Amino acid sequence: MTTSIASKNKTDLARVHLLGIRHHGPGSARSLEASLKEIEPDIVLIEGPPEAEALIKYVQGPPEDPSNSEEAADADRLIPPVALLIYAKEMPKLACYYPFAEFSPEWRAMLYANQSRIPCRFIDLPQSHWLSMQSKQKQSAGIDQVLSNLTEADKIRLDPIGTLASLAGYEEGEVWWEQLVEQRSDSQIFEAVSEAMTALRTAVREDEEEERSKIDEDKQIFDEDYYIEPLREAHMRTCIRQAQKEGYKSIAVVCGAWHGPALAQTVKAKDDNQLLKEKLKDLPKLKVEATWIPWTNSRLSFESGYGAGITSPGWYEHLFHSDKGSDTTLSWLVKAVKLLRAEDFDASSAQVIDAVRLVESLAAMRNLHHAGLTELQQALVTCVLSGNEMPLALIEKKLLVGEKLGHVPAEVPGTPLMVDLQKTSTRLKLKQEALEKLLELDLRKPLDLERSSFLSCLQILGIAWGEKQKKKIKTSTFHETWKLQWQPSLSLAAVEASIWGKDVRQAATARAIDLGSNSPTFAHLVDVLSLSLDGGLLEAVEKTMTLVGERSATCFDMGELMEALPVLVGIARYGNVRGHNPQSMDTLITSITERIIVNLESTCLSLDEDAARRMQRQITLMEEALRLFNKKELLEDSRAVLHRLASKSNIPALISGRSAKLLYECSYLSQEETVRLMHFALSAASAHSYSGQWLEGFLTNNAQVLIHDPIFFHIVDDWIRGIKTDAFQELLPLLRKTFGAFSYSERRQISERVQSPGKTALAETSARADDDRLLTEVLRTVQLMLGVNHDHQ
Amino acid sequence: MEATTDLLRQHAEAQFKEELSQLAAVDKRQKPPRWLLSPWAVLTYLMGGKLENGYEISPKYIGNKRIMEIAVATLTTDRALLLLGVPGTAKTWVAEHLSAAISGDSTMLVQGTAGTAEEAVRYGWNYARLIAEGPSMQALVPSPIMEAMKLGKIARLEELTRIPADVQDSLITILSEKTLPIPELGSEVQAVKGFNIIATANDRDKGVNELSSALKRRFNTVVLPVPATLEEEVDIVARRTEALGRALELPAEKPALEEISRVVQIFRELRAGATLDGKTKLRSPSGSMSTAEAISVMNSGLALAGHFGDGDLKAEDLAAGIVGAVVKDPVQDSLVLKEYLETVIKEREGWKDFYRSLRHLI
Ligand SMILES: Nc1ncnc2c1ncn2[C@@H]1O[C@H](COP(=O)(O)OP(=O)(O)OP(=O)(O)O)[C@@H](O)[C@H]1O
Ligand SMILES: [Mg+2]
Repeated sequence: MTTSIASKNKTDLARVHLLGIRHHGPGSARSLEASLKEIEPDIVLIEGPPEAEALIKYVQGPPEDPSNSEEAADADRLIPPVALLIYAKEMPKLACYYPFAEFSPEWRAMLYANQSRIPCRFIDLPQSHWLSMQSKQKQSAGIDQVLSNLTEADKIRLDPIGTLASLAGYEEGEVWWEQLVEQRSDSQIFEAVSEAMTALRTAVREDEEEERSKIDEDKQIFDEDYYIEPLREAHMRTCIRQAQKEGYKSIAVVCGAWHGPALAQTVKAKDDNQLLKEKLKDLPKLKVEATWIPWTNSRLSFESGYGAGITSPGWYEHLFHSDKGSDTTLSWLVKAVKLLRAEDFDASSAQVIDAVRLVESLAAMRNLHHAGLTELQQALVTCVLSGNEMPLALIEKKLLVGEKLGHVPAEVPGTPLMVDLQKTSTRLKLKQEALEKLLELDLRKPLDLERSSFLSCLQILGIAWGEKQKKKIKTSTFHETWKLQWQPSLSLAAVEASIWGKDVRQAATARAIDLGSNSPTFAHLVDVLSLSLDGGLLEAVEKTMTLVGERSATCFDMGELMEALPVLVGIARYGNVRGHNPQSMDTLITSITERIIVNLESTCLSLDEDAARRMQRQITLMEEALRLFNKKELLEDSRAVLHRLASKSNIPALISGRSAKLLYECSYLSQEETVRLMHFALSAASAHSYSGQWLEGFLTNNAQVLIHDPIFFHIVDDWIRGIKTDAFQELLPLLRKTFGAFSYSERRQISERVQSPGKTALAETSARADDDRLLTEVLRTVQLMLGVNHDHQ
Repeated sequence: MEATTDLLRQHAEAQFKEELSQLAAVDKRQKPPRWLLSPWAVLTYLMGGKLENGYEISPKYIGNKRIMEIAVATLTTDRALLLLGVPGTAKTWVAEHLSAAISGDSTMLVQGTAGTAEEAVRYGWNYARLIAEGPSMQALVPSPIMEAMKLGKIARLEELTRIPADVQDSLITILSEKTLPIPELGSEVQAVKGFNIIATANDRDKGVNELSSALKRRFNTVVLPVPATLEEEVDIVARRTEALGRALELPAEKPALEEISRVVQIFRELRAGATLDGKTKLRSPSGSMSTAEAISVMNSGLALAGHFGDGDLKAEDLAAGIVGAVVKDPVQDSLVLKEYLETVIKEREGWKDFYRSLRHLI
């Protein structure tokens, strides 16, 4: 819409074209481009943070000269999605993002201005004011909280076009915009939008006045918006006047549709100036910095400086690139079907045709001129996917989000996270070197502790500068070894990590919480917890602890819980090295262990061999963890269960054997009782494979019992002797596996014991048989089993 | 208004005759060939609503309107419609009402069973006549589907997946060519505009006779979900219990919403395998715990209360029905129910009566 703002000289009136758009709206982006081409303005003013004005120059399209082919296309330039990041220099926690997609109207406007070589300015209220208002609030609320606190009026303001669309029965603003465009020509559409906005604003204002009279003091978000909106609009009007004063003749103003009517209002310059002066004078002056950072499509859905985000950027991109009308439907369905086929779903062209017909019919039934995403998805499910919605989830990321990471050229000054990373590295005397290097840390020294936390934070952020080495000796809990190596790709990782926050700790916290809430497995979640603790991220520790508690309560895989125990116990024992209070961890471990104890026996009843082998390891982990944890009752209870596992014949032999071993080694079971169990397992009535597996469970990492305890040796010896040749051949691999895992010296000792005359039943028998040939054969077999080559004297 | 007769159960088009004619009277929108109502009016008939003249249409399907829109839109594109879902999600119910509203006739029905023969889908012969007169149109006994093709109406096919695979195959020609060849007569029946098929199938007891992909492709599939929220399900059960109670002339008091809500909660929790607050994980029984079963629990409870109790619906009247619905496998399911009683119901405030009556029975 074209309007005039009061100006002293009537004859010298500049034309001001107010182009009210929908942030991230591909429909308005297209209309906007068309209008700009028609208007041919000599300056473009955009609702955006003035502090970032110097960064507009980086917005360039792909090089036009196609002869430079691929290299040119890949030239180091800004590639959306990217975001302008404005942050307070002294307090980078205070920051604001302005994300842009390729189809964002503001992006198109900057591009147009740069390509037409006309000036382009940001005219919104400077972020230095905005951020300093935020800093005055006691605590800046998280986005979730902000969104849930929104009043009806706030929501309308955030997406007024969406509001109008839903009033018109459209689920989505963009489809409605398309319809508007069709009813009017492109150049008229901004007028239509402005008319609608005027009506909407009046309605909202009345509402708000009423609300305000009821609202209480601490609803700050509401208050802030209430004060800030008129300020922003006054500022924008002032900037427009400034451009007029400078003699620009045709001024294009690109702003959220909501502001259109306010900018068209005739307000005296004096009044605007006074309002600004009065309201801003008490605010501290904040120094802010701005930079471009890469953004991702999925993060376009976040709320930001441009209000509410969008949930399906992939769909918007499609709308932006495709021609209007039914072609949108067809090409979208074809795209979807292609992706489905790539996921191995059958989808024929005939079905696509049916889907197109259903989309049209559905739109007609719903009184829509254009089908939207809803209709398209429903038709896909109904006609192509036999009513099954699951496959849609598989292609959702590619189709709806169209996951992409933007790119920022090296010439753009760095992000706060990168700056913080640099600063912290310097402070902690960590040099970024390409050469691999070992770093020994003593966590009792504050500097070393901080270094360890810092490196752990970087790990959480995917900036793999340091790698913690596994501890060789378990005793020294204060000692850590890190392998450090800086690679160029890490700079990129740091830029990418910038979307998580403004400094390393804050970003690592956000990332850890995100990782934790999306953990695929319980064990992974526990790892995140452990990393958060290493990073000293108490907020993340607290959140992930809660998650661990919640997930453990609904996790029915006892094995997963058992594998997590050592890590949790480690945290409980050593957490205080890092200043974490382990009290809540104790409670958590106790409750998890109690659950395991209750369920362990029934879990063990139905395991195949692989699962039993895992379980054998898991009960070992649990027993070891609980020994460290050292809570008497818990240990007693868990051992009582192990005792049952050891005694019952319907439990897999591996597990019974292992349980017996664990219990014998901590003296829970007497030698007598253990011998009884072994006899039982190796008794003639048991299948050989059962006995063999029992032995594997009992003897793994437990050679000493054979070497030093004649009774056990005797039983095993007897048993092996009793096996018939055929069966022995079959058992051999299993036995070799068990015995072969012993160390060489252990195997030697056992072998010697077999040979030493008089001492063992085996030798006695052989001697009695007085058959040298037999003895030789037996010994060869034993050697085969043990895998040692022992010269037979 | 619902007409009263002595019939135990009337066809939808008879029971809701008044509603259908009121709708027809105000319906000015375009109708597909041979439809008695426009798609809009069919939708209103299903979902309920107030007409311009103030007449109130009762809701038949309680749930997401979008789903019914897809079903109706499918029929306007003359693609066959397959209603898929776990037992008791109103598949049969919706199919009957759709055909009543569109064709004014919900009786052209093939009930699918393992024994359904080709004759039931295509045509059979009157053998006396066949022998006396030789093959002729007069000697032919048309199936309900053939009948519907000739009349341009909707035919219904219940439990499609129970029909043997070779019989299913004979549907393919009907659906793709819209003709039914009669090789014995060297002739065919061509479907008149307005003909279509609504099939229902249960996706829980799978593997009965999986649909061939060729047949699957000829249907648009709409899945009827289990009710999304407790409120929605309570609403369904309350309305249906009341309507059925009236139809069966059950003597008890109108069921208290409170009791319905508790029964539905039990059903939903066991079905979902978690308590409503999401705090406790539960094991699900082997049965389907469908809404339809919740309705029948309420009804038998009402009957018990009416005939043997004091007319007031109590937990003990409902308990037997609940146990019946949960315990399909006497060993596994009783364990499941016991565990649920001990870990959830027992602790729940104000549920003592349910705990006691149920504990008593298992
Ligand atoms: N969403 C709903 N709206 C209205 N009634 C419902 C709904 N869900 C279930 N019902 C009621 O449940 C009863 C059983 O439904 P119906 O027999 O149609 O189920 P079905 O899906 O065909 O089950 P089956 O697979 O066992 O054949 C009907 O009386 C119906 O009224
Ligand atoms: Mg049915």
